[in-house]
Amino acid sequence: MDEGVKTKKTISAQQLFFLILQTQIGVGVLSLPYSVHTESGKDGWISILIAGLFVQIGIGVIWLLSSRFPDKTLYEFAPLLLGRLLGTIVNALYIVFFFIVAAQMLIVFLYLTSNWAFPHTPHIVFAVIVVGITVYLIQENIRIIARFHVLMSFLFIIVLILFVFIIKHLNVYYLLPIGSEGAPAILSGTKQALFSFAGFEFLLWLYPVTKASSKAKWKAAAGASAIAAVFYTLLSAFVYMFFSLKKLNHVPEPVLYMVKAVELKMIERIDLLFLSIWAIFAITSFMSYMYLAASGVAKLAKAKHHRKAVYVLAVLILPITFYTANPEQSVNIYEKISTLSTIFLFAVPAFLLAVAIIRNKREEST
Amino acid sequence: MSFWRGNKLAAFSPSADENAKRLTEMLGDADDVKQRKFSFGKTAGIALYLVTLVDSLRVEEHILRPLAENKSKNPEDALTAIERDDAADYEAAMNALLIGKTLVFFEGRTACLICGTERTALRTITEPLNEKIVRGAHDGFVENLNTNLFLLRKRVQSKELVIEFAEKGERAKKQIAIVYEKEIANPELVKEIKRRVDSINAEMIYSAGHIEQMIEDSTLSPFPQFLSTERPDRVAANIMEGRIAILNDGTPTCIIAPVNFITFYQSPDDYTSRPLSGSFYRLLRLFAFFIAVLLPAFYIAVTSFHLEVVPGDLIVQMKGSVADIPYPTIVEALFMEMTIELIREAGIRLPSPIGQTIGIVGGLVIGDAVVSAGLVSNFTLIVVALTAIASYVVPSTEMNMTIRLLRFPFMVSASLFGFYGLIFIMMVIVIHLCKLESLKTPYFAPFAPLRWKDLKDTFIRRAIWKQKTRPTDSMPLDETKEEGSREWMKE
Repeated sequence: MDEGVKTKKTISAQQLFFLILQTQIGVGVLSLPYSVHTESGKDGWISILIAGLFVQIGIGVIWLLSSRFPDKTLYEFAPLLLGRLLGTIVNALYIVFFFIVAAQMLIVFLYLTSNWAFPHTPHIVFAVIVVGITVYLIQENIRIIARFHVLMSFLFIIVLILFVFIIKHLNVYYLLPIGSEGAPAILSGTKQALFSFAGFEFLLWLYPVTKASSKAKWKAAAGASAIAAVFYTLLSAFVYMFFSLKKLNHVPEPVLYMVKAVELKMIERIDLLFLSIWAIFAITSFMSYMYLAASGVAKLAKAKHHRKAVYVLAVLILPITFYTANPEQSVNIYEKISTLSTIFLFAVPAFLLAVAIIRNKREEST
Repeated sequence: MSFWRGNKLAAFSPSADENAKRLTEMLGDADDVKQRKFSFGKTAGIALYLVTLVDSLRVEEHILRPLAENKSKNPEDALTAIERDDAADYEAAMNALLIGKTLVFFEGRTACLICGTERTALRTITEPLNEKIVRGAHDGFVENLNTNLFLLRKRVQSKELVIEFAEKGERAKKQIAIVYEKEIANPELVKEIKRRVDSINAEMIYSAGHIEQMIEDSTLSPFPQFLSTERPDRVAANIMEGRIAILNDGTPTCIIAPVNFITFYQSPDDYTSRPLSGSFYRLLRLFAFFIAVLLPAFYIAVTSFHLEVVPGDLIVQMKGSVADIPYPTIVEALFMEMTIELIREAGIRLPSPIGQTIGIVGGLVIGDAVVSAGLVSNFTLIVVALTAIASYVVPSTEMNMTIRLLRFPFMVSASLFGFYGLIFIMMVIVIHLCKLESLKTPYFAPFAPLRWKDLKDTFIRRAIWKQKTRPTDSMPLDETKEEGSREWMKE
């Protein structure tokens, strides 16, 4: 009952796995194949696969770093590594980053929602509802959030079943010859795809609260990212086999168009069903980032519980989403955050790991 | 403790008259207080009892006659009442008097003897009306606590079955019994439930529902956090899973905690029937849950937002049917739902022959007329009727209420936001279920937190011999349920 709270280890490795998976698979699902295709054409799926491999390296770095401080989150060990001032600045930057990512997710969510299903409903209505649901969940501790994310992961089964129905519409020749776009194009597509895997950095915060061996935690995080990579690769490969390159230029959300082709006797317009499931994935990712930001704010303010921070952030995020409601802006933001994310997901943890090794900082688990 | 004001009442007086008088005064000189004087040899005495509560025959046979016959040396030995006790003070004596015992005072002694002479008016043990099953035991609890405990003890003949009593109610006392299996139930949980029961400080306990509200984790949740049942077999099965049962005198309902969502879907029938059919009906019930909660909302979302999801062949009829109705679908559906709720409520209150009439008038006449009048479409009627049937499939009255309530937010939300409305409410409810705890254990286990091993008795029911361990949500001390029952297969 309470023993979990005392030792701070409150979630299992299984929950860690699903938390990371749910955070990684989010708003990107609908448009990732398109945005990667703009760089690397029909070889986009290779870009995504490579991005997935890079992410495995990123996870390795984070795991090495976190296993040096088995009882501390990044918010707690950054000041130890860099000194109080610098550490606090890094923390603050992370908070801002998470908050921006969350805001961006919400914006994309609202934009796609009104584009596909609810053109007449004002953005602010859905924004308030989504933020409201988010607050309802993330004011609780990580254990409850984990339970919820695990449950929602089962919607993947529906998505996979839909995939089976798409297979007969696919044309493998669209993919051939493999790799003809050239390495530079593929790599630049990789850069574009990296941001879709954002969410694995959650490990920096989940490592100390997970009750499992260090290796099991690595397996869970790496496994989640691997699944996400396979999922994204498969998804984009499907899209590139479904649309010819020419057609793809005209469909910014190719996944929905692809799903629309599925015809079941019982129900038509599967894209609407898919959109609803995607909404859940998008909201769970949004929840994770809001939680990360809120717990950071609470740490900065030295609050005992992150509840108040959640309320503050919820109030703050609404006007932002209201302000930036047109699609061009959201694409711009996406580009910028994509670059930012490489710093926060890869560079900073690597730098902190280097500092930890050089200064030989390491703590034992209590 | 308004009865015992003033300390002059602390000890008994040597005069039997005095004692009897005081107790009679305390009862406000009620007319049903009877004093019977007797003399046993040289000692005189008084038997005091409430004539409305005692079995007069027992008073006569076991107290007054033996005393009059005067066969043994001292009066205590003469009494033939089996149940005997000494009252420590007036409070104890008064409590005994109020549950139908007879007090015996002897002149010159500062003591009070309590003899068991209660009258019991028993309803016969019948199968509870609201929890019928096809196969298995057909007995049910009654209003008398002792009978209920007898049924439980008889069913679980184990030396580890613990029954603990608590008397609650500041003004009118009621006995509460906490029953658990001490080698299985988690002592932390037992302690917790006792702590909560102890803290009940009500004037009177009217029913099990009262206790439930006093001790449950979250009163405002739509989901019941205690399993209420009138079936001894269900209680016994739950006790053997490490859960704790609370019974109280005066109601046939027993409440059980900690429970989880799926407990409400487990019927004794599942276990007495074959694993395949048991699993089928379990799945059917869970499917019914989704129909009862989601179908009207889904229908509203489809007709008001996403008519294009309907397959081509059906869309013409559906569109035609809905288009003729002047009201939006949500109004139609709410109207029909309210009608069904009205029929149901009226059907319960009325005597059963009239209740059936209401069902026919409500169901057939209104249902038919409302469509031909053009108020409600055929499809709405089908959806609402199917939903009503599905909501009665759950083998628990409280969960049935919950389901019927839950559908309304879904319907309103779906009429506003279509499919998105559905997923918004669904998320809120799932989050709520993830947060909810029954006696500090997660309510939505084994789904959240996900415990693969415990899924064996959820969507499906595996064969009994495959369920070697107990579900862990009640944190049992001993997880093994059985091992090697099918060893004969190997020979």
